[in-house]
Amino acid sequence: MKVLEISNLTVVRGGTMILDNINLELEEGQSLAVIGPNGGGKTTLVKTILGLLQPQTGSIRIMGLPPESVIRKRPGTIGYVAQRAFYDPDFPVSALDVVVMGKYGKIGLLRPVGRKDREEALSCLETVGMADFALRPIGQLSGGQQQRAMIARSLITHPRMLILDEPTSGVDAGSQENFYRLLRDLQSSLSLSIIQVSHDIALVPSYSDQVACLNKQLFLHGKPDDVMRSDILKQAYGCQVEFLFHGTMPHRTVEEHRGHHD
Amino acid sequence: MIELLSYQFMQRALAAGIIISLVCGILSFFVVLRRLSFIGVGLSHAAFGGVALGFFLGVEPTWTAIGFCVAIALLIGMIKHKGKIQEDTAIGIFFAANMAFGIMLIGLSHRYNVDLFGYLFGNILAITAYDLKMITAVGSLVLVITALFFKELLFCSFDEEMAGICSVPAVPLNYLFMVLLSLVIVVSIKVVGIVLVSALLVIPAAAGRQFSSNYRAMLPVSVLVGLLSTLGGLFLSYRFDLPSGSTIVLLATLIFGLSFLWEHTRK
Amino acid sequence: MIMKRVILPLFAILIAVAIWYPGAFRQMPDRKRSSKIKVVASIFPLADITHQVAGERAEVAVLLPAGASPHTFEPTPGQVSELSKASLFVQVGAGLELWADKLINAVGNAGLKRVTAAQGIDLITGEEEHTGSDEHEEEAEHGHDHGKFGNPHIWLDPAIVSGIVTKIEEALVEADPAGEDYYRNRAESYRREVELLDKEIERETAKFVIREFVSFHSSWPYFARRYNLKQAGVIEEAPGREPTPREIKKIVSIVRSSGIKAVFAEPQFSASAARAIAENTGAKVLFLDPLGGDGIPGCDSYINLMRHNLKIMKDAMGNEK
Repeated sequence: MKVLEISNLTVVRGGTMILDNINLELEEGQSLAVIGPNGGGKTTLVKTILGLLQPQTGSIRIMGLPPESVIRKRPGTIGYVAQRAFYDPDFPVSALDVVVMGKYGKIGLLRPVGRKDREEALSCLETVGMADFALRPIGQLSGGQQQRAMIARSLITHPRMLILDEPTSGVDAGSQENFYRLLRDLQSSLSLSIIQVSHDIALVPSYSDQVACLNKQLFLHGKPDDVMRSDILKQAYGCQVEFLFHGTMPHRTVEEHRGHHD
Repeated sequence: MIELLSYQFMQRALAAGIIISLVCGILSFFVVLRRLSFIGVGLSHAAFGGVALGFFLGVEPTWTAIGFCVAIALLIGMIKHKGKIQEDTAIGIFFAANMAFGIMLIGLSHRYNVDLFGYLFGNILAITAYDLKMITAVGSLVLVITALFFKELLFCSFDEEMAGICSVPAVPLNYLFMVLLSLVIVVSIKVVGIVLVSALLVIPAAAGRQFSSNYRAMLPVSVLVGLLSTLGGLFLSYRFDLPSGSTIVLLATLIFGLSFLWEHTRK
Repeated sequence: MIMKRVILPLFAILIAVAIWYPGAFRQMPDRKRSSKIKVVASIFPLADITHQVAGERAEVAVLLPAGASPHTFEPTPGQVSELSKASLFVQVGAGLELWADKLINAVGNAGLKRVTAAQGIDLITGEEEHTGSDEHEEEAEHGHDHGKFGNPHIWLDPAIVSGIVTKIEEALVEADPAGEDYYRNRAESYRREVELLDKEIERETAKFVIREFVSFHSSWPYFARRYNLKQAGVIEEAPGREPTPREIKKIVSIVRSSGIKAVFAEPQFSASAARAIAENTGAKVLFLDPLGGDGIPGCDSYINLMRHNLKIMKDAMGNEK
């Protein structure tokens, strides 16, 4: 069964075409890495899938429904982890509170949070290895811990699909690989479909079943080993990228482009 | 204490003070978390524009002030929702614009003018029976609605976009909150005055935040700080014969100062 | 956690000391039982006029302290309790004391009589200088005592003050019939003083060479009407009403063409606009004080206040050199 179907999607913002005729499909239980340069439309794609932006043409179906209907009628079908965990580092909530928030939509208006909801939240924190930090103020956790809590929040509604937008941008390099490993484990244990958007072409693709390169157009849609060919990447990034290959794992070595993209 | 209660105006001041500290204490929780600290000042100037409009059109100015405030609050919410502009910027824009609008209307009406600020005059010692009814009605309405939607309002204050994705009706709730806030502000201006409302919408939660790192503690502490300032301020102003509103505001500020000291010497 | 043990008790002690401070009871005026009737006036000139008539038989308090503007005025509990015990409230009316209306409503003092100085007086309204579109009555909801809105600075015309003295006299007699003779005598002699003041101002202003003046806000039209002077320009016609560029231009050209040597500012308001105009024309900024107050030297009674202002006007308008 297809979890996500995107056909002929075009998004124009402020007179500029951001996404140009995108077609994409995702099977249940599969993971997809969308890589591409900053400004290539990755976040726009995520926001359009989440129904936050309206496309000019084309359609998006999540479990056969348009995004707004999924969010309204089937709360919790999509889990989302944003680039930045939240805006206020001193917001007075604990990690557990944040995880329970993910269920508010499902609990519904005018109904209080029950003990069962909190227990569920705790077990989600356990799943991501954060049970010991449940009662810590969310702002006192490290970037990686915060993102794990955000994953726990998206898991509490038993989603079918998880969308992550640059989830490791605030996570120190040493913890990034652990984070990707966690995602892969969740994918297999919960048979979760995962879309991860990233400009990290070094690590993300190796943890994904499929990789797509996005720079206004979606360039490729295949297995990681195929994608990591530098001519394809050059087309997507519009700049020279060189790789050193250690077996199947590519490492980007040309760092000076990073500043240019940011 | 008993002597203080023998005056009708002090009884009403206490009653209205308790209601306003409760309502503002809880609203201040959201005001501070949403970084809306200037909303009180901003909307009070919208009320000024509204009063000027009422006088200009020959309509009861209280109603135009309420209508104007609610409209401006919704506009501030809408600008934040639609644009790339933060609420504080939107408040800044309307703050100035409403003031100018009011002054423009005064200029257009060629007549010796009543003091529009005088019309907006509210003081905690000058509360009529009608004022008390009005603030009780608006206060209870706001408390009930806030209690009913508390968890959603909390989520929206934390991360509005995420709340929407988690199927919480974030946008309507945001507008609802702005409407509640503007109602409380405009009614409180008429009852206790601009300075006191603006202070009670910010200082209690600011102090509460110093004392606590979780909202379950911060919320009651905020309300408590509001109550303590209001009751303590009224009491001190009575004992030393000081202007009551200013005494309350300064006491609240003192409490905030202590909370700040506490938080920063604890580490 | 140590601080929790230190700061909270400190705070409690602070509050306790404040509450039990031995001198804390001093101000409440109702503590001393006196047979005097209590009168509250909204502004200082009215309080002084009332005091002149009531003499020793009444305690007169003033609501608006010297230098305060009604914009930011905040009463103290003592003032409000005075109002709740008073038999008489003396106000100008004409829309000046909207804030006081609310206060009076709130104290719910059923025995309080109000004397509205502006009642029955031909008020100057802004309309007179502009087109005569008809004015709607707007007082309906503000109580019915203070008549039409208009320029409230009526006390700056001593002839009008004579009438106000009579109003206050009648109200005092009604509130305290036992003192009728006392009040009538004092009112009579005070009216004579005010008439002398009127004559004196008339004599002095008649000698003014320059008969036009510019003032910061429209305080002096009654004075001007009485003594044949002309308030040629007003920088800010109503509280918060900024002058338009054309108005400033007009004022500057009036000052230049009429040889006005001073622009009058007032201590209750910022003088910066007056200074700007003065700098543009070479005129001086002088301060007229329409309100005065207890303890302000030279302005501590109504009559002294008027003499003080007369003297300043004389400096500016009295002779050509």
